[in-house]
Amino acid sequence: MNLSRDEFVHGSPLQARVDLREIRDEDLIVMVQNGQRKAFDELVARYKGRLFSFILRMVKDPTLAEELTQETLIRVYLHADKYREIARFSTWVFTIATNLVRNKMRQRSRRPLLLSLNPAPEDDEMPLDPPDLRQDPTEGIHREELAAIMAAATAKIPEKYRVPFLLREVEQLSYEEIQQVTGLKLGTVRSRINRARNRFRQAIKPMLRNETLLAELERIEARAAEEDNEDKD
Amino acid sequence: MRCTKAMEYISLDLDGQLPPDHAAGLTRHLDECADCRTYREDLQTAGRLLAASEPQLSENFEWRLQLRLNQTLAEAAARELHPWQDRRTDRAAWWRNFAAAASVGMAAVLAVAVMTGPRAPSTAAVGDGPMAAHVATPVVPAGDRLELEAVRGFGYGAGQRSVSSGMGGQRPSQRPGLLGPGWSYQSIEDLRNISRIQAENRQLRTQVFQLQRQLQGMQSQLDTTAVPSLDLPEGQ
Repeated sequence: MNLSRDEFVHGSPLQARVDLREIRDEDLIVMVQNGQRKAFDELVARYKGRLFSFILRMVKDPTLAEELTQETLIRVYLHADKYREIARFSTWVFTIATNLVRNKMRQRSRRPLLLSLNPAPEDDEMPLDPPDLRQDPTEGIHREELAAIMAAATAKIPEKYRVPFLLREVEQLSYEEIQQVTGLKLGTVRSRINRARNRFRQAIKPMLRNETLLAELERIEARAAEEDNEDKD
Repeated sequence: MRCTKAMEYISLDLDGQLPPDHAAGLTRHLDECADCRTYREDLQTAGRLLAASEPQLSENFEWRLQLRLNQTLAEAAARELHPWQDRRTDRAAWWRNFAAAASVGMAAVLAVAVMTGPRAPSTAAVGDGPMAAHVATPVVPAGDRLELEAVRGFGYGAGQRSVSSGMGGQRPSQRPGLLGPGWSYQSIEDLRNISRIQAENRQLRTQVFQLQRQLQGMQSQLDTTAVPSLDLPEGQ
């Protein structure tokens, strides 16, 4: 639903009746600019999972990922007045998140937490072990386990390829939006996504042939579709 | 079409970005190349796995977010209400920087003054050079001159005498100029060292005296509390 700017600024009676779930992100942030905390809560509900999913696949640490997700959303609230509708709201949010993640990773690379005398084996090219589904094939793999395996596989992609890859594959941003978020040239975005896909495929290759896993994947997708339908109803 | 090019096109095609003029070429290649067909299927499955594996946030995420946001807003409001708090810290930092800069400046001025100021007459320079016209030539006995050279910068006994000898018996304050001709900061420093060392000597003497008294007390105590010899008489 599109609302005119006057309706936000002057608080028309219509506003009270509007279901926030029907309002576009870009209109919600205008409401936040006018001090409506409820609009911010709605944006949090829409973006917290997407941001966490994106950030976790970047930093691998769930605690740190939650912290950075919170930091991103707080910055959205504090700097809401800086948003201009020259770009989609999602582009703006993921730009903030990407910058925060990059800063954090830069800090971590300057201060390594652990130094080992024995260098870790070069495992970039090693595919991940597929989950052992023989123990309880009827139950299959849990969604959390799958999330952990995918996060580990994603972490094997070099960071410069991973950011555009996740923005495209998980967040479904267009190439132009990824270009805006990352500041890369369009051709570079294309080639990095292609290379990241290749690396990701190498990392999960054994899983791609696992019939039990593929069956569970179909069940997960069916459940997600049902939940979407319930939300719409 | 090579497979590497086809893989690039497959990626673009999955995102709906493949130009139509390349689509036909890719289709032809996929009809002929089983590896590239598998590659395309793998990418599709990988994308589905990634989408299905959305990680879950902890249950109290929103509550913690609200808490953190409220704290941030409260801190921001406090800064607006009491901006002097920030200014006070700024002012303290400014004073610290100023004090440091002033110390460096003072040290530099003193160093220049020491380097360029009048110096104590040395035995070789007395009566010679540009100072000779302004400085009354001190009468230094030959023996004292030698001592002056020998002790400058070392001890205080002979040095003290050499300073007084170098001044020809006059007090420094009676001399014209900032320090008076014939005086240098080195001479003043020597005098300070002398008085400091004398004070230290007095303290040391006092300590030695006290320790001697303590030692005497302990010896007398030892004499009075001395146990008899433990040597038992023979036969016991």
